[in-house]
Amino acid sequence: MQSIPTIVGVTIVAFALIRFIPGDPALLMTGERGASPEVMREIRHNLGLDRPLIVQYFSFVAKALSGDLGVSIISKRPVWGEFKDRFAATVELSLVALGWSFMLGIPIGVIAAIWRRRFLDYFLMSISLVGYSMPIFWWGLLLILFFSVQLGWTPVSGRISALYDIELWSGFLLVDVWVRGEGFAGFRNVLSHMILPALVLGTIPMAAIARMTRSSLLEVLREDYVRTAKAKGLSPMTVVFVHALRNALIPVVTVMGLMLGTLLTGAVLTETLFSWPGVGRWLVASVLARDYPVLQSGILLLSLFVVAVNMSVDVLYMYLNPLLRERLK
Amino acid sequence: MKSKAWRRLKENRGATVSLVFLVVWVFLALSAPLLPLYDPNQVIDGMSLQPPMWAQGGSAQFILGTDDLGRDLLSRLIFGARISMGFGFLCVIVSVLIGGSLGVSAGFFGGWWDRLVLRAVDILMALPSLLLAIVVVAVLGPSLWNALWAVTLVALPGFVRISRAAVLAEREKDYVQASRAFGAGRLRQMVKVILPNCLAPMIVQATLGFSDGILNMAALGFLGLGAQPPTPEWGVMLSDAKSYLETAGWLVTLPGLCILSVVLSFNLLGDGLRDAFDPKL
Repeated sequence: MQSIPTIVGVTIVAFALIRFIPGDPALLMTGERGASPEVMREIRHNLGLDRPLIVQYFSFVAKALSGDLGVSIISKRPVWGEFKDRFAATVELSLVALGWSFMLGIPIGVIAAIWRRRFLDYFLMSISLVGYSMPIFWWGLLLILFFSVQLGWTPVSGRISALYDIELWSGFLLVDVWVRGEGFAGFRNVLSHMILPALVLGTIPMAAIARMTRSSLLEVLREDYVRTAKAKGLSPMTVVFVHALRNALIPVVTVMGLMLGTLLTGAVLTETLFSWPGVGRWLVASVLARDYPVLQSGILLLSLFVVAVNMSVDVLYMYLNPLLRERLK
Repeated sequence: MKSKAWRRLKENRGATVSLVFLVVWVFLALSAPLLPLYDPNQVIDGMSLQPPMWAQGGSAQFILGTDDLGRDLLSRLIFGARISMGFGFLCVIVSVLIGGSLGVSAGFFGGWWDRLVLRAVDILMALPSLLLAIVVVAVLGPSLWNALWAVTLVALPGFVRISRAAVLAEREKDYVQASRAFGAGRLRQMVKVILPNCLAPMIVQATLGFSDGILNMAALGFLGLGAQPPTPEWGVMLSDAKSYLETAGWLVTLPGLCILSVVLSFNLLGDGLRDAFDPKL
């Protein structure tokens, strides 16, 4: 419920965006040379720009709710159609990136916490801090330089090689290659395109998760119930993995929600670097091309997505934390 | 209290090394026009893509080599530090001033003002940071200064939240009550009594804000939405170097190393400061 004002705020920001832009949207659509005054008036009328702001705002919201997000100036296609395939590409990449960063980040954090203040801890935490500070667009260039240019192991750009002409089904190519009967060869082709971008995109989340897991676990290990568990004579392994880790991971899971912003930010850079046909690259291109309908709706959709994910994380957090679970019922 | 924190910071090797490293960078950046360097934008005829001194074909004339147009890389990197660190500094100052006043006043006064500020922060945080910056750049147009406003706006929510939380934690403490009993006005309570005790978390946030600011400015430069060529900005230099990945690796590695080392140092320093101020963890 708390997120409703935020959602309203986001729609206002997206709405205001196109009004703040220097220059007349009608002029932008007709091109630099402009058109006759009648045509301009007609375009403005069609865009609803001649009506009061408040009416324009509500009509923008009403249209967005009914799925009409405007038409791209560049491609002349409806924004929603342009958005959904790219969004799937971004989500697929983000999921793979998030997946590996959790799978590696949590064990690294646990190991560092167990061997606290020993060499292994310092070593792993130094690596994490470097990862955390990484300018990922540079990291991506280095990986391309090594794996694509020098070793020639991975393709430099795109999602799948041009030989495959796959009609999207779920939008996730890792799934769609199987659905469209391209089998393992197709799967491997998609994977080879994805591995470097996913590695780049997951680097900062991985480092953040490792650091978070470590500090959270160290905090939990000081709790009374952990001392009790140790006193009962449970092995250190049982204490850490059965008793402590479950509670230590609660804040880490909430970080997942915050991580989404990091991921989408990273996606803008990663996609630009690897020519990944996702939302991030699309939005940057639309800024440079001054394609404002795309920018407006793209920003709106992405922020709504972020708000929605944050809400689900809140619910998940309540579910994971027994003290809050009662309130949920 | 302060000297204790300072001592703990000095014992933290990572933080001290970072501090020294950053001081050296700041010194280099400030004195760049006085150093015996080429003009960073001077195109030297027939000297394009010279490798660094230690590589085959390199010479001491261009210690770190030259770029595709024949500009001295060392000079561009040092002048780039002026931009990255200078604008990082501006970003932190502006966000501390604006974010700090918003957060402190919201925490101190509470009520509708607090709710309004928090709501605005929530909306800003619903947009992923770089996308928010992109929106700002879309409105203002791509340039170095507009990138600064964009990056500052992105940094604001963090400062508002941290300072508000610190004020909330301090507001009801006995010494504040005592100052009230002695007749301190609201402004005095806020600025002279509470604020000095909220500085520690804000200093930490400011240090970490440096690294975010520098990274985001470089990212915008890299995307073509920030500083524009021929400005010697690290992100722009990386973006220019993309086409020379195979032939001139140093154009890619060196600017990136500069960004990484500076950002890493600010993060190490920030971590060290946090531990020094708050030794519980």
